[in-house]
Amino acid sequence: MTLIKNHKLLRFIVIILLWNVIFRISLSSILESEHWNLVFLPPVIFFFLMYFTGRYFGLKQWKDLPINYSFQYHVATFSVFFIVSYGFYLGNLLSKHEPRAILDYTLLFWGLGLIVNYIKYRQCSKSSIKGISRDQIFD
Amino acid sequence: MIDELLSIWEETYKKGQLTFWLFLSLKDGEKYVDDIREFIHDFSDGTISYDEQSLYRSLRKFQHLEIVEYSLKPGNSGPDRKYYQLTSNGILLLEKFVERNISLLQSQKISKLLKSEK
Repeated sequence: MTLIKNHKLLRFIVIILLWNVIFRISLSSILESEHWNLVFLPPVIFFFLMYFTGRYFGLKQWKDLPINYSFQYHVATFSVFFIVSYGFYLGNLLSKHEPRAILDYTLLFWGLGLIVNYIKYRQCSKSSIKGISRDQIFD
Repeated sequence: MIDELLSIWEETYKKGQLTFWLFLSLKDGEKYVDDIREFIHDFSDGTISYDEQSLYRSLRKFQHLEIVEYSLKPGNSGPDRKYYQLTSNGILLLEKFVERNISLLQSQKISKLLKSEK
């Protein structure tokens, strides 16, 4: 429901979907061709692309209405990353140097981070009205 | 120094009054943002003015909180204008705020104190 109403979040998902697919293709290609000296490039570029995309949409959303959507953006990032990653795994598109265990461990640790984020998000929600922090309503 | 302090105090004081003036202008009747700015300027004898961005930002928040709503009406030229008005909750909120905060300043003992000489 949030997704249908929130067009910015929907646009964010479409863009990061593209970044994730490009990341997976480039990383797997470099690993497959065993260009070890270039292997750091896709994750570094992917990190900055994700960071600036999140920052751009987050700030835009905040300027429009100061509602805390951090958790929704985190869930979207998490979901897109693992849908694309496991999709590549199931489609046999990952390199032989990318074992499934890496994805499973990433899912486990990132999942724990997501749970911590949810707990903090719920705590913040208690001091807000309809998603807007009490401090922000009449500032 | 007094002038400088007065200016700083007024700046802080006026910032905190945005909601009050915004609500007051809408209590007068539905308005679009330029009307609201004009109302605030006129009714504060030109001492208070808020930029359009601040007003829009507040109006979006109040609309989300369902204390303000808008309807689209054709403007003189170009796209439709958003005419804002207080919802029943907005009216109630303003009434309670005035009762608890503004009426207090109009009480006899405070008026007397403000008028009294040193």
